[in-house]
Amino acid sequence: MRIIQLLPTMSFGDAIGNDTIALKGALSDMGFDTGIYAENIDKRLPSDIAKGIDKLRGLKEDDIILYHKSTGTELTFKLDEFKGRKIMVYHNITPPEFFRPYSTAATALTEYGYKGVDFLKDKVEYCLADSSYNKNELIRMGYTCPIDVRPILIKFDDYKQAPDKALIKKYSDGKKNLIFVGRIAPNKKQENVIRAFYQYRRLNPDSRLILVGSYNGMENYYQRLVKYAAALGIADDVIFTGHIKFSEILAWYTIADAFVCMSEHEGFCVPLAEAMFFDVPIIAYDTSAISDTLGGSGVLLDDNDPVFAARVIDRVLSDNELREHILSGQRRRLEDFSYNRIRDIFEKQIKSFINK
Amino acid sequence: MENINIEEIMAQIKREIKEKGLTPDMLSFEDVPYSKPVQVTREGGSSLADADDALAHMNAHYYVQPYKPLAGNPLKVFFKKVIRKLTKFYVEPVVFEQNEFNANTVSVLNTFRGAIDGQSQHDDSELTGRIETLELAQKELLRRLDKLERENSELRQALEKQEEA
Repeated sequence: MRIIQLLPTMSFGDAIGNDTIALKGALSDMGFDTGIYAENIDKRLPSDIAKGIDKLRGLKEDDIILYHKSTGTELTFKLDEFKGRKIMVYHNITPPEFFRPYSTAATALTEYGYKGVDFLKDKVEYCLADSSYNKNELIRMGYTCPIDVRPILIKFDDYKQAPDKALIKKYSDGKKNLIFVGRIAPNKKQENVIRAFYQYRRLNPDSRLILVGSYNGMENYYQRLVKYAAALGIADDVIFTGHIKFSEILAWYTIADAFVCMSEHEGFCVPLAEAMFFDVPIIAYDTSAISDTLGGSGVLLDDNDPVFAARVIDRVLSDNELREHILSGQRRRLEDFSYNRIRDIFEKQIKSFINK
Repeated sequence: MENINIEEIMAQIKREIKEKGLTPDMLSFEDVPYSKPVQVTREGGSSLADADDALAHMNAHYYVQPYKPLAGNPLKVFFKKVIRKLTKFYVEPVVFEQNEFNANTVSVLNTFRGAIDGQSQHDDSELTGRIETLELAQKELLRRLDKLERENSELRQALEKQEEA
């Protein structure tokens, strides 16, 4: 029996690509004949990591396909043509409403993504969701098959690489560095992070905000954010990094004093786990899967009022005891995302599915 | 450290905000203008990029050759040549007339396209000028606001000292 993973695009260094590779390793360790098949494969990946879908032959009825769903793709509608039992690994799709004012392409892609999720409703036997939020979304969309939660596998070893020293030196100047990591996208509500920072700056002018993330495809939203920061008079202290090298991302985490997340839609939010890894206290607005990922750690805001957020940030940064309390909670939560723990969860889930 | 209750701290911060009457009092993100995505509809018309593609095709293919190379076995080619000779008096003038019309049409379309580009550049530079003026005006307003905030803060401090005395 083979257990293969199928996805439209196998990217280099992104959360889903890393999860897929980690699952391949886990399946291989369990003794299964396994492989990754994708329509597009990033050339930076080692050549033996994944194969093109055209190479996927000889599937039998008792083989298992783990299909990763995170975007709109024609592949979803072809899944039915493959032999084998199907499991959907649901990473969530951003609701198109967020993109409608800024990008017709992103709106169309996510709408198509949701059509795909609807199409697969009666075509998969089992679903694995990154978070309880994702599980509940599938139930709301009419999924009646068994659904279990399996947090995404994160390659924490990658974060042990050397961070960019020049960047650390430049911004270790005594100013408080507030960061948010995530592509510039309307669902992530970077404008609310800017609003919170504007209010925080009134309490501590010796501070800056760093918005780490690419704005490719979201130029209209990005330009609006830049104009907003300028209009508020804080443009000099709001840094938009754009797409940067991995060593630079590590550097920003290294010098961050707080991680501020005001996102209104996340299926998991890997940067929260990354902030935990780098011992950066998290202050996050409680929406979508944020509370699932934090699992009781960090500070959850029940309101996105910028004055409230700013005062919470100030308290976390000025009260050492509180800060240490938050960090110890985050360290405990981080253990839940360790490779071995999630691998064990996955092993139980996949073996239970095989025996059904 | 075990006694730290984050929920209680949150409630305390909220109480403070309420007591002091603090409000965001800032520019709304909704007020910031932005470029809206262009809707391209195949049914209702085509975009300028599509028109450019079509114009490039017309520039490359407006001249029609009256005769195509003949193919087939020698006997077939011979008969086709005979037919071509017989219809030449009719086909050639029509094709040449059509080519003249096509050349004029393409020339006029190229002139129109150039005019659109010129107008667009003019509009862009006018818009850039207006943006720069507005940005400067905004900068000045921010400077004045900053000054007012400083004065306000000084006045508050003076008032507090007066009250203490």
